[in-house]
Amino acid sequence: MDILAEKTLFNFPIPSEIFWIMLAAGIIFFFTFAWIFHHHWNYYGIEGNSKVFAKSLFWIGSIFLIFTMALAITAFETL
Amino acid sequence: MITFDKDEHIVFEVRKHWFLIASELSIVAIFAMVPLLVFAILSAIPVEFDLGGNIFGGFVAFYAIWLLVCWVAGFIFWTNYFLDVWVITNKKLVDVEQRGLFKRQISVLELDKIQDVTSDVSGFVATFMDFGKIHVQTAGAQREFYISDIENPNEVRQKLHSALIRNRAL
Repeated sequence: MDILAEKTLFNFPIPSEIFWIMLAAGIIFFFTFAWIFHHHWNYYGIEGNSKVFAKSLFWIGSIFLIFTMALAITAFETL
Repeated sequence: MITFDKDEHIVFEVRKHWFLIASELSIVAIFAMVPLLVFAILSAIPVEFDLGGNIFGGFVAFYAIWLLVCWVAGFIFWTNYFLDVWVITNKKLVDVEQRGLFKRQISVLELDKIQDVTSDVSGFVATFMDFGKIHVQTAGAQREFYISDIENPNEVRQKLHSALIRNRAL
């Protein structure tokens, strides 16, 4: 008997709207923390290269992840 | 925001050792990899999921939001690390304690109130990574100042002592 040939199938359909809601929540989450970090880094006196580096890294990384998520949801829907 | 007098300048700043922030960020990195591990296990066992769409797209969408949370958590740790600092000027010591994003305590101590400065390195990791505690004893009933897990505490003690001598010579 070939055990590997038998795969158990779990039918668990997820509406793509759930992913879009997750994306919206992620964007709200990102902007909330971007605002908090912006306040802390400016008001509490992080200066120079550290601030520029942290700010750039935070924005580039976050936007990349949000964009990737949007693309992945589109790929999920197209099948 | 820390404000200084016109004739005041920063002599040096003291932060916690990089080993601490590296440890915290390592934990975040391990959390970031958890979905990959779960995905790898599910791919290895004879189970198939029908999610009503492209399963890889669904996984990437979920993983991207997971990574976004880890990414923000990493920056919270970094912000706490960076804002938790001792600023030593030619007149005073400013102790900024950042505990989480929404708890910040600032204490100011005039250099001429300092009586004694002690450095303390204890433990295997602290000895080899060269981090420890600085303890400042003040005159009168004022509170004691200390900062733990700072890099090279002996050198910091010497620099602080030099700043005290310069301050008293003025």
